[in-house]
Amino acid sequence: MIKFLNICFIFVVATIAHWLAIELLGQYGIILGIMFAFTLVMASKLSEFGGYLFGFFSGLFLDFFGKNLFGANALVFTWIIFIFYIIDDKIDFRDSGPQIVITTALNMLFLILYGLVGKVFIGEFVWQGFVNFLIGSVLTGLLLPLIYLLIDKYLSWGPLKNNNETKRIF
Amino acid sequence: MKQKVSALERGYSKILPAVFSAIALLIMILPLQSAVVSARSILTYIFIPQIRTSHKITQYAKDAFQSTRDLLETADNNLKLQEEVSRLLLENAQLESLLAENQRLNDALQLPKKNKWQGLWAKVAYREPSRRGTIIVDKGSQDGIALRSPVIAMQDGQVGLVGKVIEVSPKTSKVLLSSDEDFSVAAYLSQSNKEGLVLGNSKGTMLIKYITLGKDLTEGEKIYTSVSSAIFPDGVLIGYLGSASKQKIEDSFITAPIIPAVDSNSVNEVLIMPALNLPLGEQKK
Repeated sequence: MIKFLNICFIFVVATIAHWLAIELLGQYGIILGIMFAFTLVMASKLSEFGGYLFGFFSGLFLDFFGKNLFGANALVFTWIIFIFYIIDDKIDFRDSGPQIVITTALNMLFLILYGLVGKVFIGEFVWQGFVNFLIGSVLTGLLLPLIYLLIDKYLSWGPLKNNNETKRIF
Repeated sequence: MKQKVSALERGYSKILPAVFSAIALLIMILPLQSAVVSARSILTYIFIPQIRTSHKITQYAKDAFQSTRDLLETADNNLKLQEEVSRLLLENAQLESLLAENQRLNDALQLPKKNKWQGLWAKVAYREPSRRGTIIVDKGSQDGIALRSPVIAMQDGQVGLVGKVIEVSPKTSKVLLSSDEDFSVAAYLSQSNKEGLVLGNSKGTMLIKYITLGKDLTEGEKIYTSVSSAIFPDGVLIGYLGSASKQKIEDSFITAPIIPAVDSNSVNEVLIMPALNLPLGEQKK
């Protein structure tokens, strides 16, 4: 139960951080993928079911901001986590280097897939701009090690510590 | 080193993405189905407070940032103002000695003494929309305000004429502004030393009339209330002589526009001086 509440707390923190990033950087046309970064970190920390569930709800949360395509973010997040787990089996996600590269690449893929989903369902490629595609993705990638470190410290803190060394919780 | 468990070994790897994708697709394809609508409503209950909280926290962070900036600016301004106060104190000390010297010289020459400007500060309570030439202030006869009291104000660091009191009630007074067509005051030009009559007009601007021909008038020349004025004390700044191109000669007199020292239509606080140079206390009696 404590672990579940913990994850809920991280989710709330993620939404607040995401909103803050939108308010501060949205005016410059850059959308930092805070929810995206939190989702990848949590996917690496949680069990597969927990990872997909966290990603799905993160996507749904983002869908609340949009007018059309309710569920599109949830769908693309699910696909991204699927790809992430395949990559995670081959590359150690605990190092900063792979974290930055994988997150940047996956964020770019996310934007393309989201656009394609829009093309299929509303007949329009939903494109968030090249500035966001390039700078937003790189910034999200650079931000991920920090988020990873914070969540890692939080989850390994005293009463919340996961005794299972295989990293998977919930 | 972390213990690697491959996606296939973990078991769910094919089922879970398919299940979540199917749910997401259903939400997208059937947005108006009752189940989807209900789920969306439930999610609204979960997410909206969260969005509100996020927004509040963001606003708080922004406000905190703004407050910090304001505080730093205030501290900076405070330092500047302290320097300004020190400078003004020094200037005031010098002026006091000059005043004393002036007093001594006036006594020696047996010139009439000038009264120190004093009065009562009042706030503008109301501006009559129908007649832009008057304002109502929050001080009245109970405070010692009398009819025909001169009214001045300070704007952008300079004191200037605003008008005169034309109606007094116990708690409020009506002030006729200098830009009103019914207003007039005897005035003199500071550089050319000529006298004239300052009048308001229907356009809400001011003119100086009846300036005798002769010496050229200088644009921007200061215009003060004259000692010959029956209502206003001598030396209250009215404004500045307007553009030379707008000056007219009518019946051997020059008429010229005035740029007011104080925009009487935008002042918020005024100083009501005692009428006929009587102290306010004595008027009340």
